[in-house]
Amino acid sequence: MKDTKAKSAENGAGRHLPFAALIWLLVTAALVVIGSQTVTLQDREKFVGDFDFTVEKVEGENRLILHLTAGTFEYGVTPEVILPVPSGRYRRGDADAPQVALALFDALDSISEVTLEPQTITARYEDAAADAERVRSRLRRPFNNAVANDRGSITAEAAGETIIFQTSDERFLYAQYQPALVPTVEEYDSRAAAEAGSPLARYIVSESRAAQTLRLEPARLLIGYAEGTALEPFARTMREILNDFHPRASLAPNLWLLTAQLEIIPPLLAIGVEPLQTGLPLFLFTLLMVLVEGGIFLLASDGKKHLLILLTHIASVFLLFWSIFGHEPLWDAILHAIFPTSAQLAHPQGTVIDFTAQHLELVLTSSLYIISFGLFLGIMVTRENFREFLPLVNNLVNSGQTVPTLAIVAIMAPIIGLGFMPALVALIAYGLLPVVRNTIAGIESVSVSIVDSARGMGMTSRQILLRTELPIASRIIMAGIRTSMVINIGTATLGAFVGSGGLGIPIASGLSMTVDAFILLGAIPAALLAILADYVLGQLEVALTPRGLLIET
Amino acid sequence: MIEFKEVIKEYPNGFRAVDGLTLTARHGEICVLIGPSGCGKTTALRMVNRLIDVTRGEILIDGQPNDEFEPEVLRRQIGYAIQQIGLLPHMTIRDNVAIVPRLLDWDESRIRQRVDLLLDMVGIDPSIHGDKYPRQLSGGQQQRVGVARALGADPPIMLMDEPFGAVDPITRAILQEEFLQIQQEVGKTILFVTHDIDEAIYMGDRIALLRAGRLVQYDSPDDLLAMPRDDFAREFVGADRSLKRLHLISVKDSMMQSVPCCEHDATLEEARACLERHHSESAFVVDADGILLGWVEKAALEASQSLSAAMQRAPAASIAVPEDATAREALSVLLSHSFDVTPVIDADGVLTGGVSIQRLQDLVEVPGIHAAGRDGRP
Repeated sequence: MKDTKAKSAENGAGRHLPFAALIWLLVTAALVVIGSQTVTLQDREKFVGDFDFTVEKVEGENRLILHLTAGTFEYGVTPEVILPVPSGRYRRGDADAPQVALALFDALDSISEVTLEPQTITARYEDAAADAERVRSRLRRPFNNAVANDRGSITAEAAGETIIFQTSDERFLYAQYQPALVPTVEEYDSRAAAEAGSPLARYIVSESRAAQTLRLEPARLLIGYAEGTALEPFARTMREILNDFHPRASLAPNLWLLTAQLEIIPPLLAIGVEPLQTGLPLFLFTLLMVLVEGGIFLLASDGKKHLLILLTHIASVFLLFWSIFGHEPLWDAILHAIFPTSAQLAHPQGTVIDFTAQHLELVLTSSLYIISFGLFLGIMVTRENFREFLPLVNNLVNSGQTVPTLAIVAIMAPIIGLGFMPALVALIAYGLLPVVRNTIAGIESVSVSIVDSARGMGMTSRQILLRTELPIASRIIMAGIRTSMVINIGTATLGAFVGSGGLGIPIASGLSMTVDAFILLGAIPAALLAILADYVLGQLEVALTPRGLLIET
Repeated sequence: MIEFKEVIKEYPNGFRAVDGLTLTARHGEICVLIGPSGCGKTTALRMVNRLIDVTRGEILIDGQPNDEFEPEVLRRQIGYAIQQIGLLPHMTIRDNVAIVPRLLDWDESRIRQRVDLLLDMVGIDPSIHGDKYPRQLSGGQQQRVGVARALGADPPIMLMDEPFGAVDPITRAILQEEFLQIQQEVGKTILFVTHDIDEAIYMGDRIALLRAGRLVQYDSPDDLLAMPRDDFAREFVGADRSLKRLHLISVKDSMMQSVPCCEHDATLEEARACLERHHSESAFVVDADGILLGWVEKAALEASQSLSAAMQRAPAASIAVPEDATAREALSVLLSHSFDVTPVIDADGVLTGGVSIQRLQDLVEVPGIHAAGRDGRP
């Protein structure tokens, strides 16, 4: 015999879940149809592009051209082993120069010499006309790619004709890469020449007896074939072997890296859980999620299980968003539809998923600090002993939000330097207010008589906080966290101005280079992220609110 | 047993909320603290479980100073119910009642049994309401749960600060009555704060009247009403204190056994003789079993041929009071009819006696003889 009111409070949030799940399922199915073969997200392998090719026959010649359908080949490498950076001084052209030095030489022609020390890497460049700041920004990304340390701890300092990278770690580490695809044009006019060529050339001739001459370009592969070869089967074979050559990309290497950095699930990486793939696997995974959800939904109506449903639901929604973000052809199609004449659609510094990952890293890291600081401050100043600090803390967090974020960033940059840290500090300062204020408001909303009766029954201060004040305040506190995080997602785009990365990068470069497509490339995902965060946190807010408080009086 | 010994509560600004209070609440008794607002009654109550610290003096609980315990340990042994109830809104009714037993680490099956027993005791059906939340209950139901919660771990002592203050008068009367029944069963030592003199008189075994932190008078309700110590006490108990005393006295204890009465088949002569004998203007008429049928006036007897023609018939309930009514109700009936005597009937309707105005006057003039305890009360 349950009260109908209680029943509806119990199922209210859960009732629409199967419908939402169904919609997600349809969208994933649509994604599978749009392009299940495309694999993107190759940040680790430094592979930017698309694995599917269109085939063109060269008139009058025994040649076919495989065009990449999107993106450009850069180079493909597979990480082998993480090593300490060897000490030493290397000049351009030195045969024994390690990966880090090569990356710097590759990135900027005017670099002539690189000095490696355990905690310092100095690059000397010979271009008096070059602006030191520009050199630094040109070098930062290749350098970060070559060095395996947490990039948040690396600082770069440009002074005249040298640029110095320093790490706060014990020493620099780098990943020893094995080159697989070449970034420049390669030409081989015989099978023999190809057999002595780059790994890709060797691979093509070893897999196909018909292939004769090769010309490998960043965006297309021209392959001459033997007289009498049937074109269609040959083209098909080529596509297949090229697909085989590339290591399969994963859905979200950045996500896993990110979570590893947050130290939430490094054990998963340690036991070798593979990140998911786009396309069919994602569809199947979402299907599984929906089945799990449905199972829980049918089998249980208990409050805890309701939370479980919600968490699976949120996980599948998140993965879905992630796969949409990582779906390069989709972005190309959208941007092409909006800007049919734009020459540039793909951002040179990375894909949407790269920027999103950086963005999320910034948002999640800062939010983690905001939530822990904010809760701590809010709880502390509502304790009897620290109540006198309440006005002080109020003023502090208020001023944090009064000063414009850009100003905080500008103040922080000279003190901390450019990069991740100043953006992080600015976001934390800016985002604390809603959390602190709502924590205080939430705890103060607990009526005096409730606390009095709790104390009168013999609860300790700690029990009063954990069993009485926080549960009753939870909804207001969660609302503060939600506000803070949604604002944070928008504000984090400003981090691009101090080089923290994120979705602000395409926006900033789009503005400065007047490429409208780039602006949307940053703005659309940022807006979607904010909506997603608002939705997810809104659901969590309801799920985490004790049921007794959801009942209308 | 709770003993206050020269207890003083002085605030840093020099204000004394409680000023030299010495008081003993005896085992199994309800001791009511009453007084105007600011008299220190709540402060005194909250010092018992150390929600407020004593400045000087000491409070003994069953002979042991209360500052020998950790505050939390002490509080878990003392039931606590307040006017605002303070149920935790995020917990179910059962969980609310189980708070103290859980703090004391009882095992869950014992808690479950205890909780359902207590909810039954306070008139909340645990199978219907046990898994609801406080906001789904009415004010009166919440007060009941508040009492059940205070009884949670079966504490020997309970502190109740206007526990029935937040509900309408009708519900309050019901709750008071039910709580007295519970108290008869559980026999707790209770310190009960109220500002309502009627509640104090109804609920209290003894009443401590406080003023500006000092004890003015500590007596049984009857003695307080009969012999207010000074003008303040007299004013506080009210000009209608005699009426209030009547409220404490049951009809059964105060009635006269002998009332003018005759059987319905008696002759006119017999009826007249009865009136003569009692020097009365009217007499009650009963049937052969003694059941009250109505009354007859002297004038009507003179004018009529038979008793049955002369008598006025009336339903017993409209002219008589039951034995378990209070003397105050008897007075009320007396005032609304023209009889000298209010007839008293038992559960079967049999006339067992009567209450006259003279009788009531005698009662309120003699102090202290009717502090009979609550057995006589409804």
